[in-house]
Amino acid sequence: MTRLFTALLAMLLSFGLAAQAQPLRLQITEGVIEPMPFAVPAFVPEDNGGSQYAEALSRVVAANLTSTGLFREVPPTAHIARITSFDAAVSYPDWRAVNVQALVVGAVAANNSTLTVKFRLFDVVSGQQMGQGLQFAGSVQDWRRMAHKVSDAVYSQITGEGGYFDSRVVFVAESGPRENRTKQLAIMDQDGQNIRTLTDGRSLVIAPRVSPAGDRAVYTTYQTGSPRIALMDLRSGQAQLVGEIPGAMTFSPRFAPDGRALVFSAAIGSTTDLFRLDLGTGQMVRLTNSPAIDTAPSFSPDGRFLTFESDRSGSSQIYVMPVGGGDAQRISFGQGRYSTPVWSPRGDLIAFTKSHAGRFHIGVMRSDGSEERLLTASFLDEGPSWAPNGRVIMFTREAQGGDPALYAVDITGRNLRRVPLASPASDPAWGPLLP
Amino acid sequence: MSVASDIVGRMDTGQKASAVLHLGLVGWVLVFDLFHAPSSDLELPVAEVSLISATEFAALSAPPAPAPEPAPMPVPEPTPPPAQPEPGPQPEPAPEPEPESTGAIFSPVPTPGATERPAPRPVDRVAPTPTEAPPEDATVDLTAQPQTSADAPGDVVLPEQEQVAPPEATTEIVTEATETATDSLERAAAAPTVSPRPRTRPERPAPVEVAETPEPSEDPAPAPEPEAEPVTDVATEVADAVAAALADSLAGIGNAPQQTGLSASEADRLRLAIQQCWNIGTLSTEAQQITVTLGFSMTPGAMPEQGSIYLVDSTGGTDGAVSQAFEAARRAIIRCASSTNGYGLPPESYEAWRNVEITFNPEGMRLR
Repeated sequence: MTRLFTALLAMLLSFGLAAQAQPLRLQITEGVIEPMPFAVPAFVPEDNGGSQYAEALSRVVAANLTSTGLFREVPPTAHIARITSFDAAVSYPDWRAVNVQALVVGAVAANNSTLTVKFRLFDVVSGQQMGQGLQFAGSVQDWRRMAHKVSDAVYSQITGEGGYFDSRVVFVAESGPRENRTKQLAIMDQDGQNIRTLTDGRSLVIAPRVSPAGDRAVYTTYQTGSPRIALMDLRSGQAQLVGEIPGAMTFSPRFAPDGRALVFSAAIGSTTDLFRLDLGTGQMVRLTNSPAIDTAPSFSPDGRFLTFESDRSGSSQIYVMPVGGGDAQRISFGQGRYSTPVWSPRGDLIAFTKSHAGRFHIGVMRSDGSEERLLTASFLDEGPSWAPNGRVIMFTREAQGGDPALYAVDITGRNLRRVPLASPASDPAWGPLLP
Repeated sequence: MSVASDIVGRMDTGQKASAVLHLGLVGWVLVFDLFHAPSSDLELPVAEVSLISATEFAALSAPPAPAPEPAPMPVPEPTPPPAQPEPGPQPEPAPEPEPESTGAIFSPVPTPGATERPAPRPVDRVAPTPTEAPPEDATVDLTAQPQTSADAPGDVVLPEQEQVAPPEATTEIVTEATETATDSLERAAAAPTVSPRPRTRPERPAPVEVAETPEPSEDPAPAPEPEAEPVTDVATEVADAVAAALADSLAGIGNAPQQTGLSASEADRLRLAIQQCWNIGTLSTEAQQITVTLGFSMTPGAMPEQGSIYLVDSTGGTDGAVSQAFEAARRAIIRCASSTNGYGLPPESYEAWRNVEITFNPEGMRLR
């Protein structure tokens, strides 16, 4: 009996000793949200041809990362260490001394018309490389795309989200006096570079949308005098009218997630309803049939639902319904008018335009209408379009008496910035990541 | 006496116990007056009153005049839907003189549970300008005096005087009656989440052997049950030992820093140091929702050993998002120690902070 008690005592005492070795436990619930300092020294030229791109590549990468608002560049003039070889060991103390936390080291070589770019990303705080180094090869004419690819890889490695730098935006480029404005369809890199017009400006064009593959665009054109839907091949520039309904005005088209169908609005008589057009067969299906105005449809990423705006309740609100039609559920219940809903590529949020008390806002809400957040406010903000990664929204902002311009904002509401364009622009449609 | 002994001798054990208990209860009532009724001869409070007339009473008890009701708000007319759809561009909105916004986040409704920094409880002293509480070791005087030095430059050499601090003061009196619910919540939030654990039970003194004095008895003492006495002693000692061992064991399990040899302020200083380096701004929106717990060891110089940092636990999210959240927390642990050349913890309590586990919970920073 005594042995049993002694064993019990020993067990408890040993448990006690083990428990006394427990670590100090703390909990942190508040941190900071600030840009991460990074450095991108000029890429190392590995031959004579690469030297003319070495500096430019690093500058594009730095500009891309800075534009997100998540990163802050430590300028090259502040660097202590010099990168002279792609494979040289990184002097972490020198980079820590200038408060760099992420370091991008790259090299470039140009052989005839082929450009080869490679890079490595280093976590200066931990003193180790992050992930694997990558190498891209392409035409020298596409050197900016190579820089965008590097930027996307760095962004993804640090944030854990997909990038959006190697993507393009179709928009409406405006010129001329306000009372006689010329509107042309145009396409640019997401950073406002490489602008190329797609239409000649003889007819008014509005509301372009890019196909999921990025090879086509649909938009509303007034080339016949009334709104019609046109489908354009972005490589050839050839366009044709689609979704013709005799006696009806058709407008506000958008691609299905598989790119094989369109959904759009048609005004027939005093009503405006939604229709679905199969681009392969030309078959058309009516999705709504109400005396109200149903317009601005947008697919969910899985293609099972549609969100659209309708004034069937008396004022413009946002609704969600099955893709084949049926019961539509109203999801917006705040004050003001809601319009132009667009489903996020991630599927979790719907971006919208809201007007209330004389102000316009770009906002987001969950697909059930909950957790509404307004990201912007101004005299006129409208027409949101999602970046391919669902983190950034581009839209049109127009100041009172001013020209329209393109702006972008993070879905956190931070980092509102103007897309650098020399001329007025509106109706952005963000395309997918390029292959 | 012999009759009583005879009666006792014929009683069984249960009857003996019952008799002892009943006698004890009667004795308790007699001695301690257990069922003592409260005294009724307490002094009654007496207050002086004055007589007033019926008219004065009616004037005092009349209800106050009702406040005028606000005018009803006009009900806005419902906006009729437009008769004809307008597929063209949006109509130009009415001119708006307000300046442009910088694009801040708006939340339509306040988020319940949003945490704020707790406000200090107002002090009793009222002054034109508020004064923070002086350090505990400071001398408090109604008039703050800067410390002077006899060798300070100047025309007049003042005698050296001791520096004193003004007493803690505030600009208004806030009583408990005027405290708002928010104040109470804030004070509740400022309350410590863990209370100090009671000290372990002291060891029992070694038993002192005392010579037993045999009780005089005419009857021979009943034969003692041989197992009864030893079992009682061992059981008591084992119970005491188990209690002591449990108390010692449990003392090391809690997260109260006081019990580990690190003061609350020192532990809080470590927490704040790491907190200011925990940057979740570059994390994905998914990773910003994840709670991770990291464990690591520290050198005697209070520098975290990088190779020892590991993931203890995580809540929610995909593996990739957990990895991002882990890296952000890891950078926080390393970066702040590097920038200050260690966390400056007391070396005498090294064993208390040699191993650390920190839970990084972004609940206070999530998107609302």
